[in-house]
Formats: sequence, C-alpha cells, structure tokens
Amino acid sequence: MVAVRRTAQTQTEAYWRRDFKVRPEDIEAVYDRILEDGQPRTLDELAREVMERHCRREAEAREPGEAVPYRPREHYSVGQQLYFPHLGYLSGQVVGVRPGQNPRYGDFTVISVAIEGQEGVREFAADFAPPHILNEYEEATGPQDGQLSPEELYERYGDAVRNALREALEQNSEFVSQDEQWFLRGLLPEVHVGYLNLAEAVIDVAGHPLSAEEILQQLDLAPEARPQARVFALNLALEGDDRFDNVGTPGQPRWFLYNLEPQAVAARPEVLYVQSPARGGEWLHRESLEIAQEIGDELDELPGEQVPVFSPETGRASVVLNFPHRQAGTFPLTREMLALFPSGEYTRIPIHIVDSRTDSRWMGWVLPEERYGWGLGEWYRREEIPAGATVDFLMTRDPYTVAVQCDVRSRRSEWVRVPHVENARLTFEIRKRAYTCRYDRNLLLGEPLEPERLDEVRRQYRRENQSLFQVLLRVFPELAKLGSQGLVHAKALYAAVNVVWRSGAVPIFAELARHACFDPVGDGNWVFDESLTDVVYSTPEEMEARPRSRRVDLIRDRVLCYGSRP
Amino acid sequence: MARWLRPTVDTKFHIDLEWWQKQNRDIRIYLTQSLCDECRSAYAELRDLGEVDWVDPETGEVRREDALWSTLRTCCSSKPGYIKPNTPIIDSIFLTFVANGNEPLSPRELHERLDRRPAETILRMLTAGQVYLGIRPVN
Repeated sequence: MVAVRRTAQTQTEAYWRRDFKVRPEDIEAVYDRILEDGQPRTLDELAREVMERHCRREAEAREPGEAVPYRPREHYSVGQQLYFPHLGYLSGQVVGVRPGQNPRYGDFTVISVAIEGQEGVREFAADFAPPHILNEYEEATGPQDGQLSPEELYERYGDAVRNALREALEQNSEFVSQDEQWFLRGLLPEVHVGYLNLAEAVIDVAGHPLSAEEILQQLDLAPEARPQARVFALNLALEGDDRFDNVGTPGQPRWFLYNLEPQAVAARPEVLYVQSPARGGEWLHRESLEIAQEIGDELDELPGEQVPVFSPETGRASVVLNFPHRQAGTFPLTREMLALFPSGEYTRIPIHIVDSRTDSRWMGWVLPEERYGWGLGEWYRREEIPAGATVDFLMTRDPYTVAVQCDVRSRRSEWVRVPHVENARLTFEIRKRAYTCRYDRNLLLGEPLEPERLDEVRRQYRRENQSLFQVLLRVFPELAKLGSQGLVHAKALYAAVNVVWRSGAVPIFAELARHACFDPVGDGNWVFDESLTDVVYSTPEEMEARPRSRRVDLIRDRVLCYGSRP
Repeated sequence: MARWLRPTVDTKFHIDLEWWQKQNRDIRIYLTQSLCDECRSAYAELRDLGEVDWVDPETGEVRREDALWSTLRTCCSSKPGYIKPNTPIIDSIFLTFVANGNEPLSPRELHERLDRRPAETILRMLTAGQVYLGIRPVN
C-alpha cells in the first residue's frame, strides 16, 4: 500500500487567500521583532516573517507523531494527535470523546483536546455533517518534494498576507506606520514643534527637497535612539504637519515646503486646462494622422500604449512646444519624455534642469500624472524660444537632472502669426520676428502683445460651453484670410486653436474629417465652405469621398480609425 | 486595590447575569419574548433541553450554552424583525448582546452595530444610575 500524505495547508492558495487570519500570536511575534532591534520594519518584511512562522509551525506540527489536521467532519479517537491550521497550528491530543447535544446539528460527537502549552482541554466538534468552512479543505495529495519555499509562497500569496497584516496592525494602537513601515508607538522618539520649525528652516535654506536623513544631520533629535527610529519619527511628524509636502515615493520620502512650490505645481495652469483630448475611435485622414504624429501632442496619446525605452547613452526626447506650454513656462510630458525620468508612484518629481549651452542650472518639477513639467518659462524668454520650436531634452547621469537645448543656428527672420484679440474675438496678425532655434513654420506663433486679453477669450469660450467645432468655425476663417487662397495648414490650425482651446491634434483633425464645410486640398492644407456648416459626414466612406464638396482641387485620402476603438 | 474608572465610549459592557439573579428576575422569561415564530412553537422542547453544544462556525470549537440563548443567537437574531426600527434603544442594546453571545461591546461598537444613537448618548443611557436589563460595564 502506498502511503499518501496531505499537502501542507501552507502550500495551498486556499490557506493564504481564504483561511488566513492574523492571530494574536502573529501580532505578538511582530511586536517582539520590532522590539528586538528597536527599528522600524517594512510591511513586506513583517508579512514574510508571518508567513515563515506559519510554515514553520505547520512543519513542526506535521513532524513525527503522525498528527493530522483537524476537520469537523472527521472521526477521531482518544490518543490521536491533531493540529489546528486555523488556530495558528496549535497541536494537541484527543483525550475524550462524548456525544454532541444539539438537535439543530443532528448526530455528532464532541472531542476534548489537550492543547500543547495550554492548561485544561478545549472541545471541538467531530463527525459533524452540517456544512462547515473547515470541511472544505481540499484533500490534495502529492509528492512532498517540489514544495514551495516561504519565499516562493510570499511571491504568490504575499499580497493577501500583507493586506491582512496591514489591517490588523492598523487596528492595534501600539503600532504606528509611515509609508508602509511599521514601528512601535512606545519606541518613537518625541518630535516636538521646535524640531519641525528647525526642519522647515533647513529645507528653506536648502531650497530643494530633502530626505529625513538629510534634515536630521542638522537636528539634535533623540541622539540616543537608533538612526532608523529617528528617521521614522521625523518622517511621521513631517507627514502630520501641513507645512511639509512629501514629493518622494512611498519608499523614499523627500520633503519640501508647500510655500516654496511654484503655483503651476500646486495647480494646473489655466492655459493648460484640457478641453479636447484624443479618446480613440476618431476617424481622420491618413495625411492628418501623419501630421498628428509629427506634432506629438501629449493629449493624443491613448492609455495603454507602449512606453519607449531608451538606452542610457541615447536617452533623448524632443517635443514641439505649443502655445499653452510656452505661455505657462511648462513642457509636455509625452511618453517619450516620461521615459527620461525615474518611474514610480510619483505625483511630483523635483528635478534640476541644465541649459546644455550655458551649463546654467535651476530647479524644475515633473508632474507625471498631470502630463506636464514646469520650470522653463525663464529659459523660453531668455533664449527667445517661440511656440512651434522643437526643444530637446537629454538624460544626464543623475536621474533627477535633465539637460535642455534647442538647435541653434544663425538668426533668421520670419513672417509669423501673432495672436491678438479684436472685438473679443481671437484673430491673428502677421509680424516679422527673428529666431535662432529650430522650429516648424506652420506651428510657429509669435509672442502676443496682450496675453491677458487672450486669457479673457479663453475663459469666455469655456463659460459659453463652446464645442471644438464651434471654436474651429471661429478660428479657421481668421487663419484663412491671412493668405490669398484661403488655405489653412492643419498644423497652423492646431497651433491657433490651442491659443484658446487646449486640444490634441487628433480631435481637431477628426472634426475636419467629419464636417463637410472643411475639405482637404493636399499638402496638409484645408479650405472652408461656410454654406456647408450644417452638413456632417457620418461614415468613413463619406468622409473620404466628401460628396458635398464643390472643390475641384479636393484630394481623396483614406480615412483611418485612431487607436484600437473603431 | 482595584480602582473605579469612569466608563467611556470605549468601556466594554455586557449583560451581567448576576444582576438578574440578585434582582430575582428570570432572564429566560425575557428571552422567550424575542423568539421567532418558528422557535416559539418549539419552545417546550428547548426548555427541556437545558444546555446544548454550540459549534463555532469558523473554528469548530464547541461551547456549552443555554439552549434558549443559543437558539436566539443562531436562529432568531438572523431573521428580519429581530430588532425593529421602533424597538426601544435599550432593548435593542440588550438584543445585540444576546445576538453576539454576550461578548462585551463598548458604546462605540454598539453605535456602529445599531447605527441609531451616538455613542455618547448610549454611554449616558447605560451609566445614568439605574441598571437596565443587567447591562453593566465588564469588571
């Protein structure tokens, strides 16, 4: 006869995901662990230890003596050895059996068990037929080799244990946490307000975010305590004080002062309020799609697309600066740009920006969730970088420092569209300007003379709940009248619309495709027919053929669906 | 020497069975009033049983308890209408203790379960002087 053994409970998913509960003995062990070396422990470390402890207890319980796991449905006899997985692997011997008494359950027996290390006996149900959660353990059998190590178990089921342990520790007032680290409240060095005032001054003088370790170098805080305990206590105190802003990651807090943060970091600049992002599923002409890709607006990136990965040697990204970013002193965070910066659960990353040409250096911020960075306003002005210019960003050895540059060439004069406001409407005038940087002529926009009046128009459009199409109807004719043939390049339209309406290129080009009043005439140019503003093409075939067009120079271009959603 | 501490919203209370004895009152008479219709008709059988073995649904551990109390806890208390919206708050507290096997609960926990009066009001009610239905702080 081949002897089979039950698979250890701690080897099963059911044990960790369904049956596992943090028991007082686990909490006691966690308490001892932290007390032992007087330093905070991460939830990961504690959860690993709890899992190892359960595995160890089970292994001990399954050692000689042929102890079997307790299940209410089984029959047990006096003298039999049992262990109780759901009670933290307590083990004991059956010392008595009697009939159970309760008509609700039918016939069953009650066993008395002398638990090791405990006085008296405890009674458990046996031969118990009604449904009971402990009867649902699978009788899985199999070879004992190939068992998962505690480390492998942690990889598979650690999340369930971490969550349960976090919940249990949160409910216990003796423990205190900070950024997934746990410590004993009784061991915390006291951080009174005087220390916090000093910390504020230290950060103020530094002018950039500091870690608790860096701040502690200048504070005489509880020198007798362990360094990790001092760091933990200071992080906890800084977190509870609304002067300090944690701009680091969960594992690496870095502290800055809210009152030193630029306004564009505290709140998105008004000029960047997103009105029309790409959503996927828009229909647009093949040529428009290519132009949108050239523009590379961050609002045209759809969720789930791949992030480009750079090798450290070639880490470089270029962006075409549009009017909203130029005005706000910000820069777009396309996926390509995001790849230049450290990844992680950052909401704001303080960085240093270096001018590649002059080596001058200043502080900036990257806001990955908001998809923009801040800190180039002064540089744009100093270097005379207009909207429409191409700006290059380069990785440096320090992941928190990025170099910025524009291709410099000899100064060249150019007739440039300059936005201005006339009769509360956005319009454009042509002015001569000279630049030394690389730019796209169609995207180029000159510095407005009265930017605050543009702000008013922008607010007015929002107040009036204008649609993107309505904005196009206002902007397109203003651009068309700047030339003799009424042609407007798609890029120029994108650039002009974004003066008052923050939109990706794809939504604008999709409106061009949908509405019969716009017709493509080649080389990225479009024309406008005011008499057809009420006509909408609803199918891709119509958008392609444009049956209502009166233009003889109409070009027929394939219409494609943007993104995966048709 | 034990020190008397003023109860707070976190002080644990329970039904003090000694109080019922000292008052010469039979808690079982009070408990029978809360039986559901089904169990009320089988009450005679329950009364004769005295104590029964109750099996913990999570651990399988067996506890001897009064058959009437056990029935209330495992059957009647899970039925709609065990505590009605118009049940007086003090009766609701008593029935809550019956339903959980007289495990001690604080006014804060009672408030969370009953969701009726604030924890402070429950505390004042239980400590105003008169002991209602034997509900007292756990010593």
